Amino acid sequence: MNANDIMNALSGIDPKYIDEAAYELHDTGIADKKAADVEAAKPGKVTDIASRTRIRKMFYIVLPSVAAILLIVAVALPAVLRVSKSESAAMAESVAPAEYEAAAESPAAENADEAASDGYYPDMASEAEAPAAEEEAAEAPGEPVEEAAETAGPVSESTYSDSANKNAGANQTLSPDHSKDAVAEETEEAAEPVTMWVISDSEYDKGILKLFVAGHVPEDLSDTDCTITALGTDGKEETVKEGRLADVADKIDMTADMVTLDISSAKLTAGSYRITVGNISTDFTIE
Amino acid sequence: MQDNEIVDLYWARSEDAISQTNIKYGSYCRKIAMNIVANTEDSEECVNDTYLSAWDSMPEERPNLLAPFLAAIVRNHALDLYRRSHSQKRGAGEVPLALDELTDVAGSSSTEAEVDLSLLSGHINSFLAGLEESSRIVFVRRYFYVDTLADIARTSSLSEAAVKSLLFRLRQKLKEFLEKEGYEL
Repeated sequence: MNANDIMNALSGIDPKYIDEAAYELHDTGIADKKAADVEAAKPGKVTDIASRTRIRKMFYIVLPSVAAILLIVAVALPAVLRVSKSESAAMAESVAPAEYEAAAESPAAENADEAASDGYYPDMASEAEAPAAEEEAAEAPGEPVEEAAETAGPVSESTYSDSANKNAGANQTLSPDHSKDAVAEETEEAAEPVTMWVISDSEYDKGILKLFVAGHVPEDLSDTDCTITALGTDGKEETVKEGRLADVADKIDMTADMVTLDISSAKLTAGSYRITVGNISTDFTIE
Repeated sequence: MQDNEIVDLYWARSEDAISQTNIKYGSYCRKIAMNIVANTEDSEECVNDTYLSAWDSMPEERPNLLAPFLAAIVRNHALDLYRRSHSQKRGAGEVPLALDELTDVAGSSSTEAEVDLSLLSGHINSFLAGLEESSRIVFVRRYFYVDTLADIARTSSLSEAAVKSLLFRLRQKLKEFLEKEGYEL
């Protein structure tokens, strides 16, 4: 048997399979075009395969996008609520300064005496200002904490921790370091850009894999996770190589629309493969 | 006009049968022929031969689905014409590429033993029945309709690389399937 036999035998396949694949006819029932349009004949509407594939693609794009939005909301919302609580607590504090000062002064005075006796922090004024500095840091999470510390005057970390822990009547806010970290984290999370790029096509030849890309490709993909998977005919997938892209590929070249990878060291044999860079994948074949 | 009405015209030996067939399936048949012979004149010749074959085959035949019936006829005419035109040299177009790909399955050398094509068709049907619809359509578009990879990619919303990769896996599967059925490949 040879290829011609298979080609001939295909004329005898079940008509339902021929009809199933006849996209020219399905949508309207009649694919009537002029003879002059034969060379430019195109399907009139999207085929069932195209519709299903697009739905599948939308699913894989929309679902992760929705999940990402929910994640951001889940992280950002508690932070916003925390800030709101701090603000309302700070406003309540400002309404009763006398109580605050009284509470601040009496244990703080004891602390100041102790600190003074230890040669630690003789300045009571700086201790009183420390909770105010904490409030300012809590009120303005977008501002650098250094600015708030400057307005409060030169106060060291020990003073913050002493007054925050021992001052029973004062505002029990988080320590500046902690709120500083939380603020930095939130700023980082909010500012983290979401990059989108796709691989539109790929080409493999003698160990060189060319990925034709579109969208906002990161400038440096070296540290991006990469996996090369062999696709078996039985549907099984087997990881051939994985790691950082710089470890998987011997060489990486990038232009605006193409990423060229030298993966000859992977010693891939003939077959079908999938390469995944980050969360972007494409299939390629070695013949 | 519905397929059964057109078939009735053939059975009634009405000349309208050909004109109605041309109205409904002319473009479809020309596209199949064009994919194979890559030539407008030759594709017209194939389509005309198809109408004649259809006329000759009915009233004995009464196909339920007229489109696949005509598709198979025009495909055979186009392949015959292609082989007559390119018997000495390798021709351009998709047929040599498709044949090259099918050598993955069956090899390129001709064997002394003749292959029972109807039996082979039956086995290929069984193979196709086991595929997912989307994979089966891609296979049929490539090797029955002899569509280009670019056309298949466009109509199936896959990249050409993905289509090529899928066809490679399908050919390997077909080869394993035929070997299990007792073919020596």
